[in-house]
Amino acid sequence: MTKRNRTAQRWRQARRITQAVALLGAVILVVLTARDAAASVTANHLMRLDPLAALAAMLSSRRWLIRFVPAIALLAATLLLGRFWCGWLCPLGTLIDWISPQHDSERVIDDRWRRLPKVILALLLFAALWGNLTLLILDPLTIFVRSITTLLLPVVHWVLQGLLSALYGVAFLEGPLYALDTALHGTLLSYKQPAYQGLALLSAALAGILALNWIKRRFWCRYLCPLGGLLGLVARLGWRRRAVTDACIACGRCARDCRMGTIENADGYRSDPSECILCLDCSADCPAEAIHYRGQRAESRPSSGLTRRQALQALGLSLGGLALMRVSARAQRPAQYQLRPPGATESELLAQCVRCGACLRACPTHGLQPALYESGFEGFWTPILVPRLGNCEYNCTTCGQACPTGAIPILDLATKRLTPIGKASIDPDRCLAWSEQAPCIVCEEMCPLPEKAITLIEREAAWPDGTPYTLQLPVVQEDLCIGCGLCEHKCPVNGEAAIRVSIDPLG
Amino acid sequence: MSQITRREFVKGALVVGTSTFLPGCQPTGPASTPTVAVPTATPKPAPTATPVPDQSAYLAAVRGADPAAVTERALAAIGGMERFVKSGYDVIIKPNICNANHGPEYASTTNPVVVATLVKLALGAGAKRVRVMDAPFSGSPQSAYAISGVGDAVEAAGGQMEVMRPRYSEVAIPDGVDLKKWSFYEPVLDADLVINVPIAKHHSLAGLTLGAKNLMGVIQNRPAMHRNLGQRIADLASLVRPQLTVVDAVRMLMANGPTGGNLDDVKLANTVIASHDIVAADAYAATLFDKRPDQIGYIAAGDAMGLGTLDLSSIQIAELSL
Repeated sequence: MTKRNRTAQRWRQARRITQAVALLGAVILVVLTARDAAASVTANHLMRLDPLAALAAMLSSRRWLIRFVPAIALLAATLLLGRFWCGWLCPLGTLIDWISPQHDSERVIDDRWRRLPKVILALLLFAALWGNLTLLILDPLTIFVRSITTLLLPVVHWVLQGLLSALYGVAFLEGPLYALDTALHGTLLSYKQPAYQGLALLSAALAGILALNWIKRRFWCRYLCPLGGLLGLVARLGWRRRAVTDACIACGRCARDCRMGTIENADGYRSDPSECILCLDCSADCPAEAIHYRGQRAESRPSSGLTRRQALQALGLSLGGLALMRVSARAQRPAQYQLRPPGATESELLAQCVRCGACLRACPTHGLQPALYESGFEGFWTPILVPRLGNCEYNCTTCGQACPTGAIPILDLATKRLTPIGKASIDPDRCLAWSEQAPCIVCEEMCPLPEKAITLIEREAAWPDGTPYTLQLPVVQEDLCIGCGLCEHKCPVNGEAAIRVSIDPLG
Repeated sequence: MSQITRREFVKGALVVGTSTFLPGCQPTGPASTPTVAVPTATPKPAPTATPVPDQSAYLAAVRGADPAAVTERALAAIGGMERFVKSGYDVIIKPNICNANHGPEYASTTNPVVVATLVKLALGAGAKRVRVMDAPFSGSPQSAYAISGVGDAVEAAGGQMEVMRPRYSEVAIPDGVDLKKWSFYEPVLDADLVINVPIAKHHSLAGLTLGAKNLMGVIQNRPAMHRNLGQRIADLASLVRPQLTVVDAVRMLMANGPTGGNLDDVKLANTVIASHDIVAADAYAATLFDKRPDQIGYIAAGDAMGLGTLDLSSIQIAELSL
């Protein structure tokens, strides 16, 4: 084994280690995003590395967002080194690598499909130009943060909880278990079991992306990922690329092993720099040591870019799709329970939310949920508050702090406490006091406002046996109500609460 | 048919297993704290009421500028902490830390100095450990302990803050008139001594939230308690039977309780009430709001059940000013 081979293998090992560390680091950052973890580095900072989210958010909001400077740095590094993000750092890419089979299936997929990521990229950026970011649900970092938040961490929480509860029965473990339990719950693990709506779609999306690997390895990266498409375009312009020397003995090993399938036998085992993710498997395993990564613009395969016609088609498609979304009935009439985080206006949220789900993770009560149909397809997987699942805590402003783009503004606590999300209203047919003359008023009790937004009407009533008592009937004072939803969350009526927060009926 | 490899089996099992778990993570709505499933347990026998030693008052109400001194004097007047704490005791102090919204000056949560003084006294009387706990209805326990100021004060005094994690079980309430069983936090029932330390606050449904109402912090499914609240609270008290109740009336929340948030609703009364009798302590506290004790449902119910007496004229009360 010569020095070159050893060096190549060491670099490949470095890549593997970096992948693991980056994936672990990304998971940790998502864990730390929860309010009670009280961390200063969170998924917010992870998202700032994302050039696709950066570009789309800046186009859509027509603002220069200085926090995305790391993303610019990543683009510059890609220009210099190639599509290394995909091979070394992308947490979704690493996940995909780890569960991939050893070899591609025999199925033949035409190389023209490699244009699809760029088509999606074009659709995404054109839509962003018109103020729409819905397609950012296809960004790999948002997929990753959203999946860890809504799928992995709730399961981990549930399993840990179950283990702890089961093991509490063992006498000598009780002390250390209790210490562990309280150290974790209410800090890294939320004090409530996280639970998110729409799990079928969320898990199907992730499962689908991972399952595609059984057709071709890194199927997502090859044929779908718009961030990969963007980085590929930049890498193609770049300085450093993979090259094959004359020492090549045409054994075909690199072409077989290439996880992006970009090494072409018929083309002298060259690769497309916009597809090569620098995993270094080929250079580490080449028996003839014929593969280098060169600083000059070495000969490489032609890239499958978009033709002018296709670009125009993408523009037309995105305009058409956007128009359809904007003329839908949902866009004309907001859903009754479309409650946004405090301070977030609908149009600004739709134009700036990158659908990452960091706010979902940050919310300590898990009241913030990924919207399904409440704001139409345009608002798919943007955050809405579902008070029955979790109220907006009176002493909390974390969602704004977690948001990487400012779609949810950062509010100081005093302002947040005065900013309505919606208004509560009582259904007298379900309310125990109004419909059954039963004493309750838990809603009034819970209202956190110094001057409660629920007042009481007192009426004389009598028990069946004739004993008189004073019935208290709750009435919402809408001008005071900020729609935090604690009343709805604590209402003892099963099913839909008797008091519900909806969008301001008069706003 | 081709054989399934071990690798394929494990992968398949993980997929099936995870897809079965995930629906279990669907939101289930309020009051979904998991309980330890334990069949209805027989409770420990209720501690016999500590007899009132000679030269000690049945109930003490002490007023003064320094909450620590007032608390100590109130305990001394009813026989001292030594009457309640024996050497090696495992003591639980249950203050009111019901939310994480405001600092102690808003009179929404028990005064940290009062709680810390009780911790100090209990440790001084020989307690093996003193744990302080509550389960807030709003906010995480850690944030509530911090924002109320009780966490730091207790730890400085040598006590431990406990987060009430899932060790709840269904327990029978033999003396219950309305409730025959409910879900209780087990360690509270197992402790050698429970000191109940409410803060005196207005409450729309109950009228006032005082000692017996404070015991709602040790149960689950609190929303369902609100039917027939007065009797149900008395039923809870009949099981938990704290041996010592210390009502924090240093600051009283006169309106918009139990959450508060307006300093104009806070009255500085600088008073601490202490008694072994939870009904009497609550009855005396009610008079500070200019209410008659029998007007408060759980005080009347507790008296009727024999948990104590609301007849303040029938007991020896030490009213002191420092």
